[in-house]
Amino acid sequence: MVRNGYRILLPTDGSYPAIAATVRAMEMAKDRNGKVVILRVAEQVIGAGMERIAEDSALMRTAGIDGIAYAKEIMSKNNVPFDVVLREGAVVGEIVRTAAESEADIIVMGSSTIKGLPGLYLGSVSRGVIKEAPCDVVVVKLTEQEMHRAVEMALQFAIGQKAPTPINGAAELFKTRQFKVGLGLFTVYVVGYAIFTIVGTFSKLSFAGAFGGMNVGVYSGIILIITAIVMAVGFNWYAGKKERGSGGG
Amino acid sequence: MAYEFRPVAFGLFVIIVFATLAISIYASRRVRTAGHFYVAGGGVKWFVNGIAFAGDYLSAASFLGVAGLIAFFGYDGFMYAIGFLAGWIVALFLIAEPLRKIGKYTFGDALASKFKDKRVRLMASISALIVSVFYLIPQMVGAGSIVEPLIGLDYTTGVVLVGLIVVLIVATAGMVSTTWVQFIKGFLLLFAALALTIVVLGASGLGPIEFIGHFVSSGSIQVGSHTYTGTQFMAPGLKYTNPWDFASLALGLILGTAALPHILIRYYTVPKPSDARKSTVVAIVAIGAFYVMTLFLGLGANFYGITQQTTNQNLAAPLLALSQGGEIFFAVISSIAFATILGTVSGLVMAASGAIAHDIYTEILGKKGDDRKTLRVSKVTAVAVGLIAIVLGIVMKDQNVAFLVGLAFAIAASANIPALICMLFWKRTTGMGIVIGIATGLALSILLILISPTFMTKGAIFPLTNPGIVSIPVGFLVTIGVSLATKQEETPSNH
Repeated sequence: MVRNGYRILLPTDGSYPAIAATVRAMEMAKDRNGKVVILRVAEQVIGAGMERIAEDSALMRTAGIDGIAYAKEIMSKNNVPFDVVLREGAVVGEIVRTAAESEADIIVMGSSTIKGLPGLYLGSVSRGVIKEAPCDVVVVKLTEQEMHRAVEMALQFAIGQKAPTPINGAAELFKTRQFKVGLGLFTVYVVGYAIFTIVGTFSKLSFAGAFGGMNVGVYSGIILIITAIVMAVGFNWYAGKKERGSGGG
Repeated sequence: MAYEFRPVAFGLFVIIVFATLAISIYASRRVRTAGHFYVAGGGVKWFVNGIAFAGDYLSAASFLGVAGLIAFFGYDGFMYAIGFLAGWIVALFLIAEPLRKIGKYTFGDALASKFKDKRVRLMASISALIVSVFYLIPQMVGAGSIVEPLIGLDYTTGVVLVGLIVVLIVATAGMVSTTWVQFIKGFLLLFAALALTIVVLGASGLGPIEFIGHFVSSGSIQVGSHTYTGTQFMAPGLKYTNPWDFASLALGLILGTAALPHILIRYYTVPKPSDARKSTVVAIVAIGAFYVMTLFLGLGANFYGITQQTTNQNLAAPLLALSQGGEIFFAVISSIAFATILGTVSGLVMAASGAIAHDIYTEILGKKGDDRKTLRVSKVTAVAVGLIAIVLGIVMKDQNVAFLVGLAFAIAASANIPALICMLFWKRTTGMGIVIGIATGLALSILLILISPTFMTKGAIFPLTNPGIVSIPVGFLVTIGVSLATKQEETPSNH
């Protein structure tokens, strides 16, 4: 198999250690006339509000910058060829898999050395990668000075980046067939629920009418619950079919 | 009623609660660092998220409260089950997908992206905080009620205990992935409900329809010192003597779900829109099945005479477990309920304090750049919210938890639904309309609750126990009226 050049895999999440690793990867690629594969793994660890703030703080993702955009900028400025790979899943597994697939010679990554309890929850990605990697791994350790430099560079970069413009996507969504079907199902359900509510409010006794072992009220309540389930499953089936039809998404 | 200390039950209880926490820590770490990517499997995350949705939604209110209401008030309790599920249809078809398209994660973010006015964001965060606090009250009441028969501690101690555990979790770590806690407890709750349903039907020797039929055709159903006929018990009117109460509750419940801040947030926690939709569908199936089972739990509690002593309504399901399955079954059911409360409370506190730190501290006060300070602000907020919840939980001791959640739903629907619907579907909405609309919805719904029969036992000024039917339409009218009266501001253009 023909291999051209030295390949460096650079996983980045926009944290300060990753930014320092970005600079190191660029330098190494220049020395060796190599190429950098920039990787971003979207994590499945999902959190809301404080969970996310706490995690960002522990991992030093505090500049709020886009790791990929920053790496691209550094590489282009220094004329280092690069590829960008986006993956989604368990971080360590995806890094190792990408290293194998892109036939990387070396993985260059930051280590955030998480201290205290957060370390228990988050675990160390670099340790996992070292254990599983198919190639050499360089874990960039920062001196205090390097850390300051990385922070400064990153902040300057962050200021240079313009804020994303708000998207007005909702209006387009309303025109799609899928949303209209959803709206139709919604209308049917709401009409049923309204009739149920009006009868329950103004004509209690008709709810008490017994037939077939139960009464009208219990039947209609259970029917409303089952209808909600059937509608949800049906809508999901319909939307899934549409997505597959239009080439996935 | 005095309860003694039960060592076996208490031991089991401690084990289950700790196991839940430990598994969630392990699971959240595993997803991040799993050596083999297929362990965490890209294909199951919508399922995990869906059950987590269900776990988040089926709080103590559903398991303890709805079962209790059905046991004591028959059909009026079942109405809660129907309405709680109906809200998901609004969330799935009307609200979630457009909000996701706008690409914003919180209610405040979504509003702020459309209206530049800082007061919009401020109002949205205030609303999120108030709704969260009201939603916390029933959780604390549930916790206090459970601890009483389980450990023999009194109610107040129970509430303080839960509050302190949560504050401790949040303040020291603040990072147990609540998503995994919710996933585990969602599963446990479904399991608990299924086990109890099987026990109830098995012990009675009746089929599901026969069992309900027994109540429909019964001549005397005992609740405390009252005796009802099947016709009275299995039709609306026992809890809601004013017929409009039924309508007001129905409206508040169907619109409340989509307005809850901690539910909306979870809709964004999966990367793909199709996964978000699948999660919601999983949640609807799980929640729907659960609510059908609560009907048997509630009626079962009545069937086996739990309702003959008018003790704490919130204990119908656990006491049913005690009477039909013995002490160990009781301990398991109570532990699951307690773990549920712990999960819901820490999730809510984290969502609320995150919103405050993000919206008010970072965005409104303009303190950007240092996340460690932001984190400290959110932790301080979390402690404060936890303490407020403890106090309110003690004050509201004797209320049914599902009823209290119904009030939280009504407040959420009155404040947030007019703003959400107008923002998404009506182009002429203005920032001022949103601000005044949310403020009116919040203030009016809370005021109506304070002057309702719930708080004024005699001569209540407002006749209905649930304010929804008045405060939700007024919220819409004010939002639309103020929007029409104020000039439309510059909205960001389409490109």
